[in-house]
Amino acid sequence: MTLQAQADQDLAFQVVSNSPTAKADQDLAFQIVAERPAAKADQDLIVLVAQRLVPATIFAQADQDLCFPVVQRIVALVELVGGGYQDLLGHPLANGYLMMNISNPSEVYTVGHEVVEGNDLHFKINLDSNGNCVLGQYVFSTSSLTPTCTYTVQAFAADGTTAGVSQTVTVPNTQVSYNISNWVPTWPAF
Amino acid sequence: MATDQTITGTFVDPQGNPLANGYLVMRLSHDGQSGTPNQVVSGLTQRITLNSSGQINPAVAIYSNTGLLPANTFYRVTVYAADGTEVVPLSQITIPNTPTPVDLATLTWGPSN
Repeated sequence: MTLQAQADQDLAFQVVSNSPTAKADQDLAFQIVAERPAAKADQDLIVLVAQRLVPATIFAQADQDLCFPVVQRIVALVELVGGGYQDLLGHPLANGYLMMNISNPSEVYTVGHEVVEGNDLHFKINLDSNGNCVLGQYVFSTSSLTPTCTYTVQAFAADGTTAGVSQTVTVPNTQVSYNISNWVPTWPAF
Repeated sequence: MATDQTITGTFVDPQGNPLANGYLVMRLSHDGQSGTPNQVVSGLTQRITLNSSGQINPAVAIYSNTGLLPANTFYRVTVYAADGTEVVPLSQITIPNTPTPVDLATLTWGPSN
């Protein structure tokens, strides 16, 4: 794994600009800021990120913000857009969210490179006032992972009320964004 | 909003009196994808209030079951009097996309699982 100097600096700025809140975030930010990003800092950074990915639990927004720029260098990530989540009367699921879990309870690899390892990898996808994905939220494309996996996804209202049934979906590696309005729900009833 | 149907209907109590200010509680049976496409969730119930004549007036916009994937979704409906008394027990109906609007009295109300 080789991190480029310019990319290191971009990453450092990105982490710092995310206003780190968790202790691990602060440790990471201080470490990067203390020395100019270099080979040693790269290695330390990778170790820190890896420690947070094993066991792989990406749940807090800070974790997602931190991990995406790092992981994005290793495996294809896809931005989720659209959705148009609504209730039966057409009211948007305003400011609700989706919880996505990688289905395979096993190690997840890219071709030739280990990415994450664990049983429970979560992504929280926030929805806007129209029930669409807030822009700038990424997940692993299921087709770029080995073994190929699926996600289970479930919708929640802004107040945490369960709004939908857990569905099995895929996220194709579109190289750009993927409109999740294309997901056709499977049959399980609420 | 991209609903494809509107519903109307007049409800009466067992004595034939208008179900004044009563209400329906409706829930979609399964999550669905509309033709727009939008993701339509099934976990949230909706309350549709009747007027003093027991009518759904004005008509209420809703997703038809015909317009949703996967096929064969339906609605679970319970009808209540204004004081909360259950008038029509939990039933299931399938709302077609035509004609528009559709009078709920013209649909088949079956027992719900």
